[in-house]
Amino acid sequence: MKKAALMGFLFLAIAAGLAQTQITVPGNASGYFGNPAEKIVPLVPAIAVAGPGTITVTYISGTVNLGGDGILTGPNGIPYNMGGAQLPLQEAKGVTGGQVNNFGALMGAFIPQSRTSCKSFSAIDGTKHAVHIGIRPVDLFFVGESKTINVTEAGTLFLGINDEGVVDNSGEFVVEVSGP
Amino acid sequence: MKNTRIVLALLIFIAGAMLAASAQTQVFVSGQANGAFGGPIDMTVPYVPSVTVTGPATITVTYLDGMISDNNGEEIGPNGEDLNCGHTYQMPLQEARGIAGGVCHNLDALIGVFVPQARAGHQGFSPLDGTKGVTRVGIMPNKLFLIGEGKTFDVAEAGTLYLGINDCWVSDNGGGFNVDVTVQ
Repeated sequence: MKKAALMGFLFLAIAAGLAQTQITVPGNASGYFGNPAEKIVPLVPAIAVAGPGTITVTYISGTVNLGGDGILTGPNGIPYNMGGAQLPLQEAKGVTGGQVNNFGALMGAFIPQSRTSCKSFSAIDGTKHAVHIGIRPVDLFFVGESKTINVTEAGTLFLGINDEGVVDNSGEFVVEVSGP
Repeated sequence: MKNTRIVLALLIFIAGAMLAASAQTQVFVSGQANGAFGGPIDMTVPYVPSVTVTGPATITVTYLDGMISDNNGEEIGPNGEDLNCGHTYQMPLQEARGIAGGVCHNLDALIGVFVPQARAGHQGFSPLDGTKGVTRVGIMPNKLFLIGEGKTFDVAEAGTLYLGINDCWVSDNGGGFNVDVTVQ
């Protein structure tokens, strides 16, 4: 009886201290990042935290079809010659085109609450005058199969796909997200 | 006589040392130098390189003269002016913050960006917005800052200071700013 009570207490403690959720990231959720960006599909809110803590994203299942010739990718993306196009994670670094290693990869951006709570915030590229308050490309980062980040303030982690031309994309990534 | 020569030589040495430690140049920044920042853009005019430093330094930019004609011929100085851009426009200094529309502060103001040598010296680099796919290697908008009539700042590494105008739609702009740039 004591053992069962202890287990129950532990379970409740873990549940109270650690939020965990499963998120589906559609294959066209580029957040309107990259160039030429042809369709506005916001990044997906994965978890909102109320303060400092550690967030972990872990890929569970799914593939994304990047369109064109039916190119399939997992969460790490694939090597690809982008020609003159610019992927979101390239936009994050201010570079364009050429060979990349993470076309179609799972990516993320942690946005402080002071921005996400603004009335006209939208989880899309803030540099394309398509939204009054958006996300700066410099905030994007590669997630791939898994990533653990430490955040210092309240905010929301958004997830998306490292692709700019998403009209013909399909599929999805299912991920598990845990945080404080 | 001997003492006079020594003092003279010392003065020449000090003057030479001061010149070596401080470089000064004048730059003209066209009223159309938008660097392809902001949106929508009607022209792509690269930012103007002003000074290049080889290591940590203090850079001072001082407005000398010149005006920009914009907004139906209105003359605007280096601090720019506030204008309600509605939902239509995003100025470069707004893009730097990931916002658009509403009241655009410092429209047509003198702005700058310091680009580290690692980027400015990269093959394919152009002093244009690196987030629009218009150049192989460009400038990140979050690095743009207001200069206005003058600004002094420290840089921690080698690189180049580029200057431009806080406007995106520039085909109707005229004039420009003459500025003095000093490195210590």
